[in-house]
Amino acid sequence: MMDDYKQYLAQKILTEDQAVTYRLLSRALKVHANTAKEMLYDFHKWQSEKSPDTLHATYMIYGTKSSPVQEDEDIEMTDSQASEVIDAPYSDLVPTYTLSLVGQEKLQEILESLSQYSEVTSLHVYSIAPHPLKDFQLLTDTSRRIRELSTADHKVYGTITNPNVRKRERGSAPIRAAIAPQPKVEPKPPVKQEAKPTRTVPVKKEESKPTPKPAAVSAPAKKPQPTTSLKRQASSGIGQMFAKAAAKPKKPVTTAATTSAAAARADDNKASGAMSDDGEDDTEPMTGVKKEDASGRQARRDRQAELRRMMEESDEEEEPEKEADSLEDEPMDEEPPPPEPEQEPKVEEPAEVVSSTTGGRRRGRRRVTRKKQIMDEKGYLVTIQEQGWESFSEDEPAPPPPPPPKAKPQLQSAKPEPAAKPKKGAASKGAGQGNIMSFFSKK
Amino acid sequence: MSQLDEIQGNLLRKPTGKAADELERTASEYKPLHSFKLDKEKSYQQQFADMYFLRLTKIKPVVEQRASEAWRHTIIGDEPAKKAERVLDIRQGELCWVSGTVYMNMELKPNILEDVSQDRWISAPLSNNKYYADDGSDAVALEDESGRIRLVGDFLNSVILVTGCIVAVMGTENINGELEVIDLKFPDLPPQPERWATSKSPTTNKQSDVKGPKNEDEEMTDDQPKGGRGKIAIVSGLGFAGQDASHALELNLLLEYLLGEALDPIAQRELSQISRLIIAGNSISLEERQLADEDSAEKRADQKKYGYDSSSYNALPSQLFDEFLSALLPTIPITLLPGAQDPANASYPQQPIHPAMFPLSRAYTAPPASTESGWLDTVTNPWEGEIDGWRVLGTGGQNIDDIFKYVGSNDRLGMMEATCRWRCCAPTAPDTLWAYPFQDDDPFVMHTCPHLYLVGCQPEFGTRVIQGEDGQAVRLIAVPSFFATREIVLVDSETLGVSKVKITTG
Repeated sequence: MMDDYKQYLAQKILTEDQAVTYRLLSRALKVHANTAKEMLYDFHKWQSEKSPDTLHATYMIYGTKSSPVQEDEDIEMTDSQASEVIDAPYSDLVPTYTLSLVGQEKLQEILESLSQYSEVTSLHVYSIAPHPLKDFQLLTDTSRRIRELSTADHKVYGTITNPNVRKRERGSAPIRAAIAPQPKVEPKPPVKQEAKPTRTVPVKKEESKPTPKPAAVSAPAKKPQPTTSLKRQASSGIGQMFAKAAAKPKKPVTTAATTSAAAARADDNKASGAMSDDGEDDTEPMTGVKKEDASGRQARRDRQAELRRMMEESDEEEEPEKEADSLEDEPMDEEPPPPEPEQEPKVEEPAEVVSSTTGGRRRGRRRVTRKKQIMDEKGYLVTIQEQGWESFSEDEPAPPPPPPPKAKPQLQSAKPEPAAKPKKGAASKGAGQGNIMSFFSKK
Repeated sequence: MSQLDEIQGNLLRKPTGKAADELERTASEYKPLHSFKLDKEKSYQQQFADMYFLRLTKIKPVVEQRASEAWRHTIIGDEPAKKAERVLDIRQGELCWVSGTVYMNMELKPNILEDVSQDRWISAPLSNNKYYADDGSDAVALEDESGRIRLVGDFLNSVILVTGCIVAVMGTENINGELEVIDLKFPDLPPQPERWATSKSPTTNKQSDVKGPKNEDEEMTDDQPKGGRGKIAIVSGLGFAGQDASHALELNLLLEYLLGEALDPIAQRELSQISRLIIAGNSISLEERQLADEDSAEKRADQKKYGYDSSSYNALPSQLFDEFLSALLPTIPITLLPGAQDPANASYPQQPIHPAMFPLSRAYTAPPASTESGWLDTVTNPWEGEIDGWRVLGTGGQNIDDIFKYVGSNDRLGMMEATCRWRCCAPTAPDTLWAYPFQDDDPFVMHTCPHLYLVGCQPEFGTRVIQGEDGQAVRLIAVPSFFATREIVLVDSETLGVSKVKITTG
C-alpha cells in the first residue's frame, strides 16, 4: 500500500505529464487529505533524490505575516489602532492570516529570511507538477476531476463533517413529469399553426414578387426563433413558413413552390390569411398555453394533417426543433391577429371554423378577403384582393395596435391604408358584426 | 530550512499512516428575521412620498426627545432655544430647534423632477461617481411636510448628512431665510436587545450573557477552552465569472480552506469552528456580461425578444457558483445575500436569489412553503437575523456605496456608523438608491440596534466598534470584495472579535 501512491504519482506526473494536487491524490487513492500531503512530499523527496529537478512542487503556507499582531486570534488590537492604519481609515487593526501558495523556489527564500511571515503555522505540499508552474491558475484544472472522483464519504478525505446538515428530499419526479407532457402534446399544433401563415405568404408573394422586398413578409419576422432559423432555411416546406426568422433566404423558395398551388389554396379552406400571427408574439403575453384545451389541440392536429398532405415536402426533420418553439408560438393563434397593415382587411365572413370554446372565448379561423396594395415594377400601385384565413378569438378586448415594425411595408406600398386599418381589424373579429365597409369592399 | 522544525503544522514528512481525527463542525445557532421580505404580489403603483412620511413619523419622536433633552436649557445670548413644530414655524432671528428630513441639493445628483420636466424617461445608467462636489455648491436643506429650509453653518461640515436621514437642528434663521445651524442631533443608536433575545441559547446556563463586543477584553480572559466557540466566516464579491479565471485558484483555495482540507491537523481544528458562512453579495461577476453584450450587439440584434437576447446568456458563472456552494454545503451552512450584480431584483430591499439558480445546491434550501430557514438560506438584502444569539444586520453594500456618493470622505466605517445613528440603514432610498415604494412601513428604519453590522462588497476591509449612550455596542465590519482583495473575514461568535484571512498565490 505504501508504494501505491508512488506508482500512481509517477504515472500521473511523469508519464501523463499532469499536475497532481493533494486533493486529487486523496480522491484518487481515497486517503485522508493530510496523508495525501505527506505522500506528495515523500514522493517529491524520493524522486528528487533520484533525479533532481524533474519535479516542481508548490507549497501552501499559512501563518501571520510580519505585523505586531500575534497568532492568537482573539486578541483585539484596539490599542494599536492609532499607530498603524493598514485597512480602511479608522479601522481597528485585526489579526490577518495569510494563506499562500508558493513555488518551491520561493519557499526557500521565505523560510530562510522569514521576512514576510512572523509566524508560519502550517506548511505542506500543495501540488507536484512536472514543470514549474508559470501560472498557478492552471491548478484549477484539477478541480473538475476532483469532483468526479469524490465518490466516497467526505470523511475519508478529511473534510470537516457537520452533523447538523439538513437537506430536503425533493421529489424530482413531479417536476419532470410536468415538463415532459408539454413538449409531447404541444409540439404538433404549433407546427400547424405556423404552417398557416406560410400559406398566405406564398399567396401574397405571387403578386409581390416584383417589389424588392415583398411587403408580405411581415416585420415581426425579425422575431426570435434563433434555434430554428438555421434548419428552416435548409429545408423547404412548412419550415419556410416560419420564415419570420430568416425571411429573405426563403422568399424565392416559397414562391416557387407555391405559386401554382396558391390560387387553389386560397379557396381551399386549408390556407389561412393569418399573417399577423407572427406579430402577436410581440404584443401578446403567452398566456394562452394553459387555456389550450383538448378540442383545440385536436382541431389543430387535424388541420395539420391536411396541411401536410398538401405540402409535398416532408417536414419531419423540423419537428424536434419546433417543440422548443411551440410553447412560444402556440399562444399566437389564440389571440386575434392584429390588423395587418399591408392587407386591408375588408372582411367577408364566408366561412368560419370554430375550433374551441373555452372560458367564454370562441376561437377559430374564418375566411377573409383582404385588399392589398403593392407596387409593381413600374412603380404603380396595384390593388389586389386575396382570400385568406384569419384566426380569431371572440372575447378579445380591443386588438392590440399593430406593431410598429409593420409600418414599413406599408410605406412601400400605400399610404392611405394606415388610418382605416385599426378599426377594420377590430370589426373583422366580431364574427356576427356586419361592417359597412366590408359590404362596400366586396363589390 | 532551519526554521522548518519550528512550524507546528509541518506536513513535510513521510506519511505517518496515523489515522487523522475526524473533525466535526461547530453548530451554528441561526434565526433569520424576515424584516425585508416583500410580498410576492407587490404593487408598484404607489408613490414614493409615503416612505419619507413614514420615516419621519417613525423617527421624529425619537430625535425630538433627544433634542429636547439636549437643548431644553440651552440659552444663547439670553435667548432660550424654543422648539419649532414645523419648518415653516421658524421665525427669523429667533433661536429655535426643529426636526425634519435632510435633503441634499446637489448638482451632480440625479434629479427625478428634472428628468420629468425635460421629458426623459429612460433611467440613467448607474455610475459610481460621487454626487459630492468640492466647490461648495451642494446645499443641505431640512424639510418636513410643511416646507423646506436651507441649512448653513460650519457645523454641517463635521457630520455626515445625506438625503433622507432624520435630524434635529438648532439655530437661527438668518436674513437670507437660511437656518444657521449651531448644533445638530441624530436619533442615535436604537435600543439594543440582549444577546439571545429571540433565539434560544443552546447552553443557557453556560455563563452570564455577554453584553456586547465591548466586553470582549474581559471575555478573553475567560479560561474557556478555545475549541468551544464558533466563528462566522463572511465573504463578499466572490465574482464567479465565465471567462475571467484570474481568481479561480483563490476561489479553490477558499473552498479547501472552508472545507478544512487545506493546512495541518491543528489548523484544521480551528477551521472546524467556523460554523457559518455569510456571502454578502456580488457572487457573480458582472464585467463579462457587459463585454459579451458589446460583442454580439449587432449580430444578435435581430434575435432579440422583449429587448433581451436569451442566446447571449452565459450560465457558466452561476453554474460555477452553484458548484462552489454545493461543495461547501455538506459541511457548512450558508447565508446568501444578493448584491448589486446578482440575479435578484435591483431595487432595495433585494429579494432572495431564487434557488432555481442553483440546481445542485437547492436541495439544501428550505422548501418553498416552509417557515424554517434553509441550510442554504438565500435571504434578502438588507437582511436581519440572529446568529449565535447576536443580532446581525447585513447588506450587500449598496446602501453604503450610495451614501459614499454624497460625502467627500472615504470613511466607509464612518458611513456605517452614521446609518446606525440615523436609525436608518438605507436613508438614500428611494431618492438615489432604488427602492420598492413602501406604503405601510419603512423597513429601513432600524428599530433594534444590531450587535454585528456587516456591509459587503466594500473596496477594503475595515472594522470598528461603536458605542451608544445606553450601552449599546455595535461591531461594524466592512467586508471587502473577495474578487479584488482575496480576503475573507472571520468573526468570533463569542466576542465578535474579528480576524481576516488573505489568500495569495505566487
